Amino acid sequence: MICYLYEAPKYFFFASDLPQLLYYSHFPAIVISLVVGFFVLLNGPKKLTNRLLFLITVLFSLWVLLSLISWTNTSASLISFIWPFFGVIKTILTILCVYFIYTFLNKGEDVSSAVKTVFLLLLAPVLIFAPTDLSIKGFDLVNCDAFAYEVMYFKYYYTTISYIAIFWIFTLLIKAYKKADGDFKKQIILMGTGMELFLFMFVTFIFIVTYYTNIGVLADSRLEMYGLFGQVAFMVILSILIVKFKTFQTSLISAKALVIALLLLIASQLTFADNASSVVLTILTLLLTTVTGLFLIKSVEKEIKQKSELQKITTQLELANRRLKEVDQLKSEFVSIASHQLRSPLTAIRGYASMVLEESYGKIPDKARIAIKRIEDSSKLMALGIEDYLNVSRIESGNMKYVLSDFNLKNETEKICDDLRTEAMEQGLVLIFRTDLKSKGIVNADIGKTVQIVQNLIQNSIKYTVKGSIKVLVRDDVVRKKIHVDIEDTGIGMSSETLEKIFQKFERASNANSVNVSGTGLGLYVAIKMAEAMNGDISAHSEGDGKGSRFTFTLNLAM
Amino acid sequence: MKHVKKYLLSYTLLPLVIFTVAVSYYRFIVTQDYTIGYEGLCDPTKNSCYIYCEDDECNDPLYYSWIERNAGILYEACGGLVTDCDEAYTCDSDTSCTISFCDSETEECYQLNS
Repeated sequence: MICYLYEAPKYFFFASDLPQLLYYSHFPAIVISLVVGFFVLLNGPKKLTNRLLFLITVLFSLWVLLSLISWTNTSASLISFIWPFFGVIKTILTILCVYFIYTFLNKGEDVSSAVKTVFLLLLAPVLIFAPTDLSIKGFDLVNCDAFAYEVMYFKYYYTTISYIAIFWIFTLLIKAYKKADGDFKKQIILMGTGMELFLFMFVTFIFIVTYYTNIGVLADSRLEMYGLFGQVAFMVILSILIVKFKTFQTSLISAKALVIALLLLIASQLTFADNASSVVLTILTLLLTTVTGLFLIKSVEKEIKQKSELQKITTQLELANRRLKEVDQLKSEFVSIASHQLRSPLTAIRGYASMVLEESYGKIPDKARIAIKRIEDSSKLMALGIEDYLNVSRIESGNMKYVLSDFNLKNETEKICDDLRTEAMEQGLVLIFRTDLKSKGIVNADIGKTVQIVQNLIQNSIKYTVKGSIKVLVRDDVVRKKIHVDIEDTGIGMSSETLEKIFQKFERASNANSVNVSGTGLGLYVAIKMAEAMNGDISAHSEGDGKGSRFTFTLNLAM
Repeated sequence: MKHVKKYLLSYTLLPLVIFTVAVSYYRFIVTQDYTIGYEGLCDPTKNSCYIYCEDDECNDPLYYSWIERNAGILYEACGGLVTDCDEAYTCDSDTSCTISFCDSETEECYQLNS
């Protein structure tokens, strides 16, 4: 049977007496849906989320295609055959959307059999009754539709299921949103907005328009076309999700999909263009968008390549860094074990050398005294070196213990100066101690470690100063609650390059060996680590090689 | 069992969809077992007719009745087009056929007083 009042379509889809908006709303919706769906599926054909999204886009496209066929064709049998499937497809599609949201929120995990059974129970009546008189009873040959013969209970049933699905999705999203954090929260908002907007527009527009057409308020159902734009909005939101959050992991192909979709959307405007200038303008826009799109794809491709290379390098660096830490740890352990092994025999060497020098075993010749004195001095230096290695090992393994107590830093510094003055004088140096204090100079720190730091700094000055003086000044800054010990010498000084790395392990001034060859390069490293552990600091200043140095050791005042 | 649980939806839904499509195709395309409604002839001097006006003034009114009958039977009698077929406008022996006239109590009708 042919609808005798309407013109038969050309090429199945094109009828001259239909509104242009029909093609503008239907063709882009089909193509954009399919493009996005196929791109998502091709990128992860085995992922459930990707498969479900693909099915949703295919079903939606099928619905739109059937709608277009029923609009443009005049065969009563064909349109009657199609008519019940509007309800069938809509119901399956909305249930699939619920299924999709479940898997999206569960990061690709499938739903339980119980949920699947609920899906089936909801879908079964629509599928069973669709071919019977309970869906549509007949066909109106004059209006070329079946609105007047639709059974409203069937329509109410599948529309109710659609609204249940919308509400179901909403509750799932709210629940997941409360538990989610970071980027996933944003993804839920975007996905939820897109999906709900699409379903609500699709279900509501079509139901309201077809209902009013059914009861004769509207002459035809052309307003339902606006309901399809919800899907385009959903596809745009999906593209944002894909590009920004790598949802479905299709950043590059989604950029391509987005460009193709955009081009199709512009191209479809040609169906609207009713004069030459509109056609030319649309073609120009199309060309411009093609060029811009190509640039976009190129830049995304480049960005992805750079990101992947960067990721690769970062992984390699992380691996190398981990390996280095392991090696460093092994080294510290080795140094600790070796140092302990060395210290015990060294104590015996020093002890016996000292006893021999004190003539506990009888008188010794002068030549032997000189040799034994060298043994004692060398073993003393070696013991100091070993102590440095052990300290480094303790610091790096986190085993250095600090016993904090209040003590007078000025008094301790003065004692150290008194002890080291003889050593300085032996080298022809003057060691001067001065104070500039407004407070009593009390600090809360580990007294042993503090003494060790000050001693180390003054001894360094003695070691690296050939002639002149070493001035030690204890001063405070009561406003900032700080106390400083300045150790200033007229020694070999340091270049700016040396200053930058003087507190690093095994670093010594470039000219250090010209004055003293016995340093390990660990003393300052140990000193600054100890100072930092006690909330203090050490800084170094020098005008350059040969111009002397000034080290400042700072601690917090205990007030 | 695990496999069946996993593909529960596909195994039940797919056959159901195929069944629905096949039965619908048989009903609407093969046997054309559905009601078809179209405008029939109506003489306003004899019957209460539905009226269709092309313009507000209703200069060229169309008077019609509403015929409903089985699409398959009509197709056998008239082929695809009802407008060139006299049998389409009479019910004769077709028991599925009904011709309705306008009910002036519920709709706007037209009937000339004879």
